[in-house]
Amino acid sequence: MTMIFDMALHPAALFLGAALLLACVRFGFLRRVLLLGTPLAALAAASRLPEVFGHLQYLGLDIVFGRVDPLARSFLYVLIVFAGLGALYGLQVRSRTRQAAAFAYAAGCTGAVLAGDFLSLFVFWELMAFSSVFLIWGGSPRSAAAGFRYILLHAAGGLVLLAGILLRARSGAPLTFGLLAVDGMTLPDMLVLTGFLLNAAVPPLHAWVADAYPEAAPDAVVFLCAFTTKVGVYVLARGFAGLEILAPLGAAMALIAVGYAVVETDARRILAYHIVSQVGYMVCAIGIGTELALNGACAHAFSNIVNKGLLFMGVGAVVLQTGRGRLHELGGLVRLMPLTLVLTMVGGLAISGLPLTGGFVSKSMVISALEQAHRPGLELMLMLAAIGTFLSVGIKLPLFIWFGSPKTVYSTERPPGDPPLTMLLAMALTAGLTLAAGVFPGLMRALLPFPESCPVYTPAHVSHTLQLLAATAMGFYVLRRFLEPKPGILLDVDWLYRCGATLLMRLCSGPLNRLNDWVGELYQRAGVGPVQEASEGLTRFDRSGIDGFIDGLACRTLEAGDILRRIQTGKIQHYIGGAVIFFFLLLIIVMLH
Amino acid sequence: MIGMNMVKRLKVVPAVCIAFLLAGAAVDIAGASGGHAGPLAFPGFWSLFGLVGCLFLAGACKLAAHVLKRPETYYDDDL
Repeated sequence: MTMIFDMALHPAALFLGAALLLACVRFGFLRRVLLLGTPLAALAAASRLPEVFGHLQYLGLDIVFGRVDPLARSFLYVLIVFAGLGALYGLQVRSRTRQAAAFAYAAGCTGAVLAGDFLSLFVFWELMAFSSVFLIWGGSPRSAAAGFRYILLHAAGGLVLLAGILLRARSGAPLTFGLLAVDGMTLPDMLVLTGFLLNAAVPPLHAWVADAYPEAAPDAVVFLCAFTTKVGVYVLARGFAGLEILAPLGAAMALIAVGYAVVETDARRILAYHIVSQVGYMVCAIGIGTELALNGACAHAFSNIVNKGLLFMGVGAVVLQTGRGRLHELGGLVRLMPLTLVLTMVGGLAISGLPLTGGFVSKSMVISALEQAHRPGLELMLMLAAIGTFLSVGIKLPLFIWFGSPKTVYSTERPPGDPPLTMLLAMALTAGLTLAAGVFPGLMRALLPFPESCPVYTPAHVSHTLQLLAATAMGFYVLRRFLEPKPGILLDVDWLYRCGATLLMRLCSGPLNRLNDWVGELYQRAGVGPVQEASEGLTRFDRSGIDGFIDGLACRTLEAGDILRRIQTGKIQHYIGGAVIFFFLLLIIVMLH
Repeated sequence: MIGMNMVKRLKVVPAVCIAFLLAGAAVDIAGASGGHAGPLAFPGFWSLFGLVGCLFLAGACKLAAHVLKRPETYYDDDL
């Protein structure tokens, strides 16, 4: 009974219950109450959660559905708050499937964050993967194929994670979800790490973000951008903090992804690459592993959820209102969508790390952690990534969407304008959060899991950031013609499985098919033909030889039997006569000798 | 070219940027190098790094895009 009561308070249970109701309820008012009320109820429940709850003994295994330590609690709050903002943004949406999937997705994320053991983590991990694919489907015409690729990849990642968990269990290691690879990396740890890296979109397992997210509907991508990769960051911070390889991997990830964003032309693909790039900062800080670095990683995850969500909301509004998402098809929206511009710019500047925004506070913490750890190489790589961020999201994105003259003619019957009030309200609240976190850094610090901190508004940090941003703006001014968006798509690692599958199909239907035909012909001629002839010969031999001999023998035996039957007349005088003849014949033979 | 008219009108952009860069260099000279040492602590290092980094990043990315860019229907053709 206590278990049931415990689980009823679990935020994941609240979201899951709401998702089931949203899938069934048609009445608009009730749906809106569910969409806005559930995150509030989940937030209230989260604030009252005990340190451990939902403890279950099953088949000798300890399953803990709720482990609420500072790290889990901080991620939990941010995810729930953003689920509320996402729900507000999508309040006008009429798709019951998407709304239900969004809350099931939120249930998976909150459940994964609270999971105290690997088995419950895996259950919520899979719930997250399978509910999020419904957010991708139903977007652009390409979303069906992108969704299938997404779920295949995540199902494979889930299986790798499960393999790691089962191997851990087999080796006798506890299934409690804590710090792994403490005494060196074992095979199960490597498998678990691979599963986590896929969700955190660490290269070369990153291409699914830019493949799937831009194809989702604008309201759906707001949830997608905030959840999966950040839960990936959470599990890395809990399981692999201080794993050295993550530091250079994260810095490289930030640079590679931002490089794609600089030359990408689809607005939502630019943002998708920025998800990967910003997660790179977090992964790098997790690899450093000090308390300040982990605080920096968490702070950057929180600010990125808010900033990236705001950017996707703004760009999503543009896509909704104009039906276009590529930079070379947009432009001139400043008078048509001014409020959207202002709010999106807040997100763009925040993610670029401008002072007085949440992005500045979190980036300063990550950079300070690198300074403390004496890692100038990694610091320079992340600063270079910061340049690319400002170049692509702070300048290029708003410039080519809102300014200049329109590159294509917008609809005159339904000219684009700022989105509905609920969308603007969601964007304004999200922008307010990032500004509040920037102006009052203490608000963000209060959420962080460790007490270790550093001053962020130092003259050096502010000066270096402003120098970097101003120099980047100068650079863009010089290169503005060079950086104009051109139509086209960029190949990424997903080419391997997108074209790889096509190439495999062509290989099967072409050369392999011909080889199969040739082998069939060879078999027919060299194998089946001679065997058939030999078989016919043997049949003939069987019929004329074996059967002839056996049949002849049988016939002769039958004839002999017939003769014997005739001889045996049953009359005594015949037998006596026969015996006398035999006796005389014998006598003649003896006499002749 | 579309979108650039606005930039052309904003002649103040370079001036504002230079002002920020000079102010940043002044703060550096005043002794605010943060936790840095060596070349990273030189006054104006981050201005130079920002400018060179921007030019390098834009050039390198354009070069990579030259190799990696395909028509928008590239994957659709295969489907």
